[in-house]
Amino acid sequence: MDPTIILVDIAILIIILILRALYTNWLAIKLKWESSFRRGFLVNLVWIIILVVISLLIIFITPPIFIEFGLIVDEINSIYLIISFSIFIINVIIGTFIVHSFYKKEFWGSLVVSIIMVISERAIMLIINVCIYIFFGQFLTEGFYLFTPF
Amino acid sequence: MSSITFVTIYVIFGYIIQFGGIFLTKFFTDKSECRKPYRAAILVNVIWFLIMFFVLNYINSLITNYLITNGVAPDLITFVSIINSVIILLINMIVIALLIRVFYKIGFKDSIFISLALISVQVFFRIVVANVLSIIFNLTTGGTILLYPFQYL
Repeated sequence: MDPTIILVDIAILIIILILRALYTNWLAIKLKWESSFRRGFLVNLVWIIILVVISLLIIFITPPIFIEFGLIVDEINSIYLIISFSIFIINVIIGTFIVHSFYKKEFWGSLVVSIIMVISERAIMLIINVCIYIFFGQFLTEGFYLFTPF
Repeated sequence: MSSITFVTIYVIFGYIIQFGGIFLTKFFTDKSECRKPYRAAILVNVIWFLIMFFVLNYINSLITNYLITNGVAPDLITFVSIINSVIILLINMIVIALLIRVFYKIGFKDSIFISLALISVQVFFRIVVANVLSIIFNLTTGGTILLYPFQYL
């Protein structure tokens, strides 16, 4: 991967981390939880690190497996559909546990915060991706938030 | 099974999720300490559904039909429909926030939070249903189907 893409990705990741921390802090305050920017930042730092590790593992482990088993494009597409959906669910579950453990509050609240975070981020990322597609004529296949495919 | 069957199943689930909003509204408003009987939650959701069904869907289909009849490139139609979905999502959020504010007599920021929670949970379930149906469709027919604009990323 191009080093410039990695640097841009890291810069974007830091911006996203700060925005997510602010958003988490606001949501926690709305739920009348004891919250601060620092706590929101830590929650999202742990959350993003776990997600990045999972995504990078999948990005680097799956292609050799596909080649080894000699899978065709349609089969690979089906597997990626299942993987991306699983990551979506895992994302919410991990988020719930992290929010729950950092804020020490009830589970339903942690789940709601986690779902709001994931859905809001997805909506924003969708707009950004579509805009990139319209203005540059292609979807990003590597880079941008470190784990583009998911 | 054809794609029409999957779309029909998704639409049925969509209505179930839509009206599941009644229980979600009641749940979130109770948690925000503004307890009211179910009647308020039903009113909020029915009015929201009517606005969405008759106004937003109409405007959305009007824009899409205009683009199709004018022979606009498919890429642009996709772009416009996704942007439409996002805008509709935001309008939905504002509409619910206003309805909750009117029916539950709470502050605007609190009503925004409740509507954000309500919409996010509903979108989450829609994504889950759309993805499960797409995976089944893919495994049975080998094709791909887009049931909800937010289902893939």
